[in-house]
Amino acid sequence: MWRERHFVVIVTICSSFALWTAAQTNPQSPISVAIDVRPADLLVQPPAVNWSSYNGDYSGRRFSALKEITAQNVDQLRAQWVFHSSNSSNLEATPVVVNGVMFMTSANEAFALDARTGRALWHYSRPVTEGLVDDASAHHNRGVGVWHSRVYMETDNAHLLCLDARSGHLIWDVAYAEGNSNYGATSAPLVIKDKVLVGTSGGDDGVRGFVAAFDATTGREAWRFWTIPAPGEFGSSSWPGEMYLRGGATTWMPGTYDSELNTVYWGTSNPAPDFDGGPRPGDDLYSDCVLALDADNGKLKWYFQFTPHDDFDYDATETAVLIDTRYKGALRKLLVEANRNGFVYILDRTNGKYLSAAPFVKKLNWAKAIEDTGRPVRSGAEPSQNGTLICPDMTGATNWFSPSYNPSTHLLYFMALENCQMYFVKPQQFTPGKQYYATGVKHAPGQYGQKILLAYDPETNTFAWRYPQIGGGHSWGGTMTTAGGLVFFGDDSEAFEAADAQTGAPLWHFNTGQSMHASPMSYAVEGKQYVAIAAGSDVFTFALPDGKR
Amino acid sequence: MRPQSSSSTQASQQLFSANCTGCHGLDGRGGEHGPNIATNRDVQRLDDRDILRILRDGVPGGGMPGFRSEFNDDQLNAVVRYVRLLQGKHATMIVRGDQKKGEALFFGKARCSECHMIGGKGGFIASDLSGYGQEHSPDVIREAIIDPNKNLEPRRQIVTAITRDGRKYTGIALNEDNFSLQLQTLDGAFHLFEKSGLAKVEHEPRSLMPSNYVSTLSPGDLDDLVAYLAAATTPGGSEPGRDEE
Repeated sequence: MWRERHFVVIVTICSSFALWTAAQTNPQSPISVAIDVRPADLLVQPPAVNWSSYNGDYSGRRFSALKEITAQNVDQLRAQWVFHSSNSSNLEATPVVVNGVMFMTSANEAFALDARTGRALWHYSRPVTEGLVDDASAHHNRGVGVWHSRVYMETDNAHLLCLDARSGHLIWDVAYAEGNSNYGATSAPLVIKDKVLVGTSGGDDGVRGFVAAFDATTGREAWRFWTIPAPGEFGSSSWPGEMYLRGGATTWMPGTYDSELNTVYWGTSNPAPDFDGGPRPGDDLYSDCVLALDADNGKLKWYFQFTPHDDFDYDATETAVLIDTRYKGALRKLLVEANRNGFVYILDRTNGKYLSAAPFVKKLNWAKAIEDTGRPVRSGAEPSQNGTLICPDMTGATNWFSPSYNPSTHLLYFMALENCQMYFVKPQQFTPGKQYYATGVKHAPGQYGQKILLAYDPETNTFAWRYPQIGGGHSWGGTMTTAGGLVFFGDDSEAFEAADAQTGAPLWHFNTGQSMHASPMSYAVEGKQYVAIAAGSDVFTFALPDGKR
Repeated sequence: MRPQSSSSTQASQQLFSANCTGCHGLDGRGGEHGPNIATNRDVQRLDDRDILRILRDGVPGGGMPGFRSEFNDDQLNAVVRYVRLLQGKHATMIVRGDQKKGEALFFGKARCSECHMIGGKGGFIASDLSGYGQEHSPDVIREAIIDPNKNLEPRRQIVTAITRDGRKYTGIALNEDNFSLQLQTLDGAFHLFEKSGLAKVEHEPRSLMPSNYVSTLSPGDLDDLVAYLAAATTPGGSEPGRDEE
């Protein structure tokens, strides 16, 4: 016998809830959905009911227009369901939700879930790949792209898979990184128009980075932009001999996209070998850059390099957040990036022009300042045979876990890390199947990591608030912000937390019991707002109790 | 790994029976403590080296002990061969039909591809048969075609959900628990129910697959279809760059 449920009908006169009450239907009613995500659907900004890509929309703002959950009621938030992955202890994906169906990935696996209950609709899997190196050997995966009735994911060995969204059946499989066994993939594909864009991991392992686009229907390659110039091309002077094949500059996070400019913004990793700049003299283009690429043909429009000749593993793969706002009196199309090197940058994204940079950590000694051109003034600190104390540490002042921007507060939220490490160098030859760091880092006596949630105001180039975290500084949880005036984030003590977006005051938390290596998102089913995040091997979802909505 | 003689099969079986059946069952389909290693596709896809590694080292944290110290290399390889036998591999196969004609039937007159997919082409409501031939003998394939309701898995039954206001939805239950039902209809739509909103759920012990292939296909057609399915041994997906639509 089925249990009967009793629902309390809430009649609200609050205008901000009008949309919700209009949309709300009986939770007992069936949800009937077909998955057909048109390219125009992917242009919707900001996301609300659906969260249709890794960042929710192309802007990278991770701002949800949903506002059922507010600063006033967030303390009533309750766990709804938990999804467990049996083959990944550190899920890194952000779920994608379309019309009440959630798409999630773990190590070489994809799932379609009933977003209201967490029950699986289908499950695609293939064995993880043995013999990979570094990040790829951990089989991390950050999620899917969707287009019409298809779902796209990358595998640990850099294949792009096209799955039928109705069944999980494999439609096609493209091996897109060949010629070097150290390639891998950990990212979520980015779908733009009728193409699927992908990158690779292996930036610490001696591969040549690229961004590639594939026809979403056929899997045929449409274009490929190599992030390390070939001999004779502009920037090739950094790559003598065959170094251009080993120099890294990989593309292991999804980019962002401005449809008006038809420009894709894609970050590149550090150069390799990480800690020995000797084999790669000069600036090492296009490592540690944000690249502005034409979405149709992959041609480079402009680039901006954050850390020329990087010896510290300061990948520039943090999300390039696209913000349209008033800047110094004029409405501008900005690109804002809190970079792993410890500075938060503002660029004009129409042309790549540098506008400003501000340090966001105190522990920062690799550079003394940023010039008016955006180029850093180096301090001279560099890895050495006996070790050099360098800040930020190798994890970076921030990293790939997501920032977010709220257009109501005009604030960019991101998790920062204060720490330093001892950096060592020992020249190394490239060997297939081996990492290519040319040595590494050690804990520095007296140095302990401190995570801080920051709220940065790009318009004033100041920090509105700082929320220091309790914990060991080892978490990898990102942020998401909502029209309900909240910032959701994975804190440094294994709790999923909500803070007031205006003030940073903590308002709610839930102990997941596992470290988070992922970023949150929000969606709605039948008018009910959910927030979700992966923690450890599980996805947790939360919503208000029906009687409190 | 070569097929083994009947005496070595017996020896492999003894090793398996003495050490593995307590958890994985006599037929390898799983038991109280161990998972299905016979028909689980993920296990079937593992190559011999991977299975050998698991046998040697076990699955730390997963309850599977390593047999490195108990078995020598010959014994470990014998167990791998027996697992393969349980998976239906290395069995003697006599396939009479014509694969090409079978492929034409699959995508044509027999209408299999309206529901099933092979190599990235076909339908979605039924299983992807890419690699099916690697896991099933021709006899099993033939039986599945002519009598799809025999040994039908519960999740492949036709399910009808009737809402409290009288609406009916008929299709396949992708998932079901005590409180919810996730149904897919033939048009591909997902229908996500909370059972508190349903008046009734009917399970019909019948497959969506036609059960009259014996009368609609000739014996020769059936041989051809079996031959095509038995040759479907790759994991799925089409070649890169091939047009799908």
